[in-house]
Amino acid sequence: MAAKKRWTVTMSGEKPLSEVTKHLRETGFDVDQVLDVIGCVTGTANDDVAARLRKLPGVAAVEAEPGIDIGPPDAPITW
Amino acid sequence: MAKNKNGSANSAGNTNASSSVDELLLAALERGDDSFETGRYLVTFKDGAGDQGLQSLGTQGMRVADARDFDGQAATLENIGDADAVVFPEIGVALIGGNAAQERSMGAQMEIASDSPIEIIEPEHFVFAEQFFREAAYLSATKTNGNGSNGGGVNEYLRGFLEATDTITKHLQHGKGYTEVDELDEETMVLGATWGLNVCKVPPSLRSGLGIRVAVLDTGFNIGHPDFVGRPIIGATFVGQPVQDLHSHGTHCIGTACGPKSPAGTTPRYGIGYRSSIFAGKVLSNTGSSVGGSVLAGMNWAIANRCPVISMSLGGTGGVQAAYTAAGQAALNNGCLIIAAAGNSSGPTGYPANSPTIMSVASLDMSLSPSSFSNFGKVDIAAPGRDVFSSAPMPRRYTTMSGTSMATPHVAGCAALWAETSPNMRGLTLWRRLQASAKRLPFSTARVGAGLVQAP
Repeated sequence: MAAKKRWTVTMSGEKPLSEVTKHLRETGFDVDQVLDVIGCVTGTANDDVAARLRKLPGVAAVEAEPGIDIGPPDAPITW
Repeated sequence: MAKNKNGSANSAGNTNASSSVDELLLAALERGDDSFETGRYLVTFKDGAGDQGLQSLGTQGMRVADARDFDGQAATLENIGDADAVVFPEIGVALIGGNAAQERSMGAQMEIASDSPIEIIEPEHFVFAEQFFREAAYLSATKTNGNGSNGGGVNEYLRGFLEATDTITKHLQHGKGYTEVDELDEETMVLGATWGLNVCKVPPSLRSGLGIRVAVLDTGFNIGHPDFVGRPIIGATFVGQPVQDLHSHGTHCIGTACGPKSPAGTTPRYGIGYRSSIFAGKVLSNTGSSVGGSVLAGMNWAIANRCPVISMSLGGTGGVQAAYTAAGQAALNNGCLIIAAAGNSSGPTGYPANSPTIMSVASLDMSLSPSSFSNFGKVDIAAPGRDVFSSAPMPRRYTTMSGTSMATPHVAGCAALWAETSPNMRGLTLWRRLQASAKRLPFSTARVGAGLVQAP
């Protein structure tokens, strides 16, 4: 079984968020946050499930959660 | 170098209990040992023998200051006068000057009588904050000039530390023997504001950001910072740590975007929207990293709270992320504007600033040319990002930093001033006004976008 990763699912706006979220769960996506204002859902799944999520109606994108790191206090390089 | 505030003769190599850190460092350099010792001693008294210990120091002819005689027991090295020792009764410890200890043959090797109230005598050591260590190590490493010095060792380290403190002091103190500082300070004293605020035309602006909610999604904020007393501050955390900023990046960014009009004393004005409401969203941990979807959660929160200005001095290297583009669009649809740092890798603009729905900010140097580190490509506007003076978590209070991270809150602060001019000045209208009013610069739009942001 492939390792689970964190993903961000972005809605296309064609379907209600609640309906798409329901389908995400049914497809095997472990939903973490439903960010209704920005139309995104975060959670975890393996690569196979993520590929299937992309085909769901109302889903615009499924992206591996981006890394953000500005470095420790007073790091010579921040963002 | 700082003068001894007591005016007492203090030849190099000697140390008093009241010697400043600079004096102790110089004395340590003069001694040339590799000990990291300050020359002073810490005497720990036996349990419950504090008062007896205090008396014993007195019977040896020492002038002893008692921390209990100071407000809130805040005995500092500056206010103990010419005392030989200062006693901290709460912890049962006395700090003794090197001179006073030597005169009485006190030292770490001294045998302590079994009936003595003293438990142990130890040399005091210098304590360096991590960031100072970094700067000092860096300065030491870059100071390998051809004078035969080996470039390493404690002395080099201490010398590097002194230079690092000088660099920091340069930005904090008014001219006391530093040529560069004199120039900087004259300008600051005349104009009363940082170079960044001046070039953005903030001081003459009649706007204050009154009634405008400014969200800064970063490492949080130093709640209780004396420059922000009485300001409305709403905090929220998305990383499982309190909003209290133990990093400094967030406090610095909020200082520029929302800091006071007239900070205490001779501190120059460094903040723009001094009457704005501060929404401090902690989306980065105290180590400066982000976990999971906390950044998106913070964006969601700021838009849900209808913050017309959302400042994000963070990001990563890579292509456009659909989620950030969606968040930027949601912001614009709800009368909010997300302003994000292009990044400092001298490469293409990173995310989230590379999203077409998010305003991307590049950094300028004092010469109004693009900073060498500033990312390029998708750039919408530029702002001061090099050597930016702003607030820092206490007790540092202020610090100077560089980066597109520092440029972004300049744009956010100016956006708050513009937003105050009209309830219609929101979202895309605000974005266009910021670009239309920017001061044109003789560089490509890929480097500086529409140019230098200007206050209304």
